[in-house]
Amino acid sequence: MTDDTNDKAPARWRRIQQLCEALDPLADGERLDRLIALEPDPDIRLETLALLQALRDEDATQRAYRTADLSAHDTEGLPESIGGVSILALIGSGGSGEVYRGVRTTNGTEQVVAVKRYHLHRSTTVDFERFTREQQMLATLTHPGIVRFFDAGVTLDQRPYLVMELAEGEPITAYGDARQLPIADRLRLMLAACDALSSAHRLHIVHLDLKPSNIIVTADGHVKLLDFGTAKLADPLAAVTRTEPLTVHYASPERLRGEPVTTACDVYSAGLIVSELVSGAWPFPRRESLVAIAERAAGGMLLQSLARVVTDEAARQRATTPDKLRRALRRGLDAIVRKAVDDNPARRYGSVGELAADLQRYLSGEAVHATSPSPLDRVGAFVRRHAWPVVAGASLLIVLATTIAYAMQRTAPPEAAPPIQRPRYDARTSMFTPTGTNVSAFDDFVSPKGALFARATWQGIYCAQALNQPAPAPTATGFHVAFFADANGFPDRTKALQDTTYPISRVAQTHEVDRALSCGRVATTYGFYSYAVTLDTPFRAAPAVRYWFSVQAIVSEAAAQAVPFVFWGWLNGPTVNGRTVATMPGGGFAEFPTDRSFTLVE
Amino acid sequence: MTTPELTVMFNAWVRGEAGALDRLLPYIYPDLRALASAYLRRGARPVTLQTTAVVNELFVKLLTTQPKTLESRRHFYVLAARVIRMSLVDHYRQVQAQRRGGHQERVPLHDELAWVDASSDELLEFDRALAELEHLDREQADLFSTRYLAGCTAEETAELTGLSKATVDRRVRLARGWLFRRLRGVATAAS
Repeated sequence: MTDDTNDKAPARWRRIQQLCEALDPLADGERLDRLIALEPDPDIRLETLALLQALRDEDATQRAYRTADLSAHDTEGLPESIGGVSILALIGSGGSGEVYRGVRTTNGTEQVVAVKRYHLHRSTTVDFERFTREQQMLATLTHPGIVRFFDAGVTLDQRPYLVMELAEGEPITAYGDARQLPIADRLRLMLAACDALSSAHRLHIVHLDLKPSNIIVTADGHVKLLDFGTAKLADPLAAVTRTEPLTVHYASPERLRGEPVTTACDVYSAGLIVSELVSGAWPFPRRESLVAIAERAAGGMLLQSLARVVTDEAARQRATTPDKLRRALRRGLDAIVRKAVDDNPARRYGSVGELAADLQRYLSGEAVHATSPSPLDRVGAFVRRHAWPVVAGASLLIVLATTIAYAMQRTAPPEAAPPIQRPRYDARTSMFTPTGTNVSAFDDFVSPKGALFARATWQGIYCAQALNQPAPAPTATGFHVAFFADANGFPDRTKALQDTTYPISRVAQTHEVDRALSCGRVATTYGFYSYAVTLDTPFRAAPAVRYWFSVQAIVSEAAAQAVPFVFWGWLNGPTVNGRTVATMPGGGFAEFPTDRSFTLVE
Repeated sequence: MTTPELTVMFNAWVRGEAGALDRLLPYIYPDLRALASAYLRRGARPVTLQTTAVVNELFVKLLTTQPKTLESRRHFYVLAARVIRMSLVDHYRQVQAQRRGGHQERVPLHDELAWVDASSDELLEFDRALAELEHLDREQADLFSTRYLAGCTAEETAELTGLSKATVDRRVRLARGWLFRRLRGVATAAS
C-alpha cells in the first residue's frame, strides 16, 4: 500500500460506515438502488456491500453459536440420585450449577429437600478437608429464618453438592413489588432477615453472598435466608473448579478488593438490599462490567440521595405517591442506607443488629441514629463523639479524617469548637469501634514496649494507642511502629512482634492521597498524606501469615500539628517485578523483597 | 516503583507518548496470566470475585490515584481492555507452547462474540484484525474494546463516551461486522 492510499483509508472507511448505517435498516431490494444513488465510486460500493453482508453473516453466525451453546446445556439428563437423595425435578440452574428437588430418607422418614450441585471443571480436584470443615460449621445454623443445611459431599464425578431444606418463595424485593407492599411491610420482612443474619454472625458465620434472591419470602410469608455460608464453602473450590460461586453486585468494596472477610461485608450487602426495598434503586449507579466493579472496589463512589431517584413506578409499587415516598426516604431511610453502605467498614453500622435497630426506630417514628450531615460535619461529629485519637481497624480514612480534624481544630480561629482533650485510654474497658459497640474480643495484646495495643477479634485485629501505658509521647521527631501478626485471621494465634521508635527523618511523606479515594469529602483542601515507613531492623516474616502493623506517626514536622494517629495495613501484597508490595489502605505502601525477610523502605 | 510513578506512566500513556505503554507493561505483566485465565473462566457469565481479584491489584491502584473525570475513566477502560487483550494473547501463546495435541474446548471470547474462539488461533487473528481496525479507526476500535474486552454494557459505554446508546450499538455493530469479515472472509453473496 502506498502512503497515498494509506492517507485515504480512514476517509474511505468513514464513508463506508456512513453508507452501511444508512443502508442497513433497508430491505434487500432497496439497498442496491439506494447505494447506487448515494455513491458513485464502484470500489466503495463493493466494500459497502461486503460490509453489509458481513453484518448479516455475523448476526447469523452469532445466533448459531448461541443456539448450540444453549442446547449443549440441555442435553444433560436428570440424575437419579445425588448423595443418597432421590432426585424428583430440576428447580433451577445457573452459572454455578443446578438445584434439584429430591426426597431424602433418614431413619425411615421421608423428607423433601433441595440439592444444589455445582459444575466442576474436568481437570481439577476438590479440597475435601476444607469442604468438610465448612459444612460442619454450616450444620450449626439452626435459626428458623435460615434454610437448614443437611449434608454436603462430592459426587463420583467430582462435583460438590449440598443438601438443604427446600424453601420455595420469591426474592424479598420481587415479593414486595408484586404485592405493592408499603415500605413498613417491606422493612418488617427485612427485620426478620436481619434477625436470622445476626444469629449467624453470633456464630461467626458470615453470609458473604447476600442478595435479594438469597432472601426469599415463602408462600406463607416467612422470610428465609438461602445459600448461607455457601459462598465461603464454594470459595476454596472456586480457584480450581468451574463454579461461579458469587456474583459481585452486592459485595462491599473491601470484599471486592479481597480484604479479610468480616460481618461488615454483610452489613453492606444488607444496606443495598434495604435501599432496593424502600426505593427500588441504589444510592449509586448500578454498573456491572468487570472494570466498573474494579472502580467500585477502589472506593469513593459518590452516594446520591435516594429521594432524588424516586420514580412513579417505584412509588406505585409501594402503594404510595412519589412525594410521600421522597419524604419517607428523607425522614431517615436515606441516612440509614448511606450509613450501611459506607465505603469504610468502620463507619457502617457495627452489626446487622444495629442496622435493624435503626430500621425499627424508623418504623416506630423515632429519630434514626444514622445521619447524613455534610462531610465536614461528619468528621467533626466523629471526633466529638470519640474523643480519642485511636482507632479501629479497617479505617484509615477515619483516622486520617480525625487527624485532619485535629489539625483544623488546632489552627482554627477561637470561635471554633473547643480543643479536644488528649484522652486517656483504658485498653481493657474502652469501646472499640467508632459506632460505640464493644467488639467481642478474643484477646488483647500489648506491643513489647507497651505503646500500642491490639485487640484480636473474630472481625479482625483492632489497633489502638494505649495512652495509659508508659508509652513514648509523640514528638515532632519520632514515631512509633508496632507489629502484630495473626495467622490469616485466627485471633487465637495473634502475636505482638515488635515495636520501635523511629526518627521522623525516616518517615517519608510519599504523596498526597488520591482525591478519588476520599470521594471529594475533605481530601484535597486539607491534604491527606500517606507515609512510607523505613524499618531499621530487618524483620523475618513467616510464610502465610498476615502481618498487621500499627503506626503512630506524626502528621507534619511542625510540632504544633504533631498528632498521633494509628493506622494499619498488611504486608502480603501482590508481587510486582519480584518485589512484594505491601499496601496500606489510603495509598501508602511499602516494598520488600520476596525472600520473606523484608525491610520496609521508602 | 511507587504509585505516583505508576500514575505518571498512565498519564503519559493517556497523552499518547511513545513508549509509555512499554514502560507501564512490566508493572502490569505479573497480573496478565491470572487475568487471562480469569477472563476465560468467566466466559459469558457474570463478573465474579475471582475476576475482580486479578484486576484489582493494579487497577484499583491506578483508579484511586486518578481524578475521577470522565476523560480519565474513559482512558482507563481503554487501557483495561488493552491489558486484557494482551493477557489473552499471551496466555494463549503459553498454553499453545505447552500443549501436546489433544482437543481444546471452545471458549467464546464474549457471549456476543461467540464466533471468536479464544482457545484457538482465531484469537491471534482476532488480535491482528483489531490492531488493523485500530490503525484505520482508533475511536471505533476503542469503542469496541471498551464494550467487549473491558466488558462494559452498551449503557456504560455510552456513559463513558458521551455517545447515545443507539450510536454505541450501531458503531459497535459495524466494528463487529468489519472484524467478522477480516476473520471469516466474505461469505458468498446472499442468495
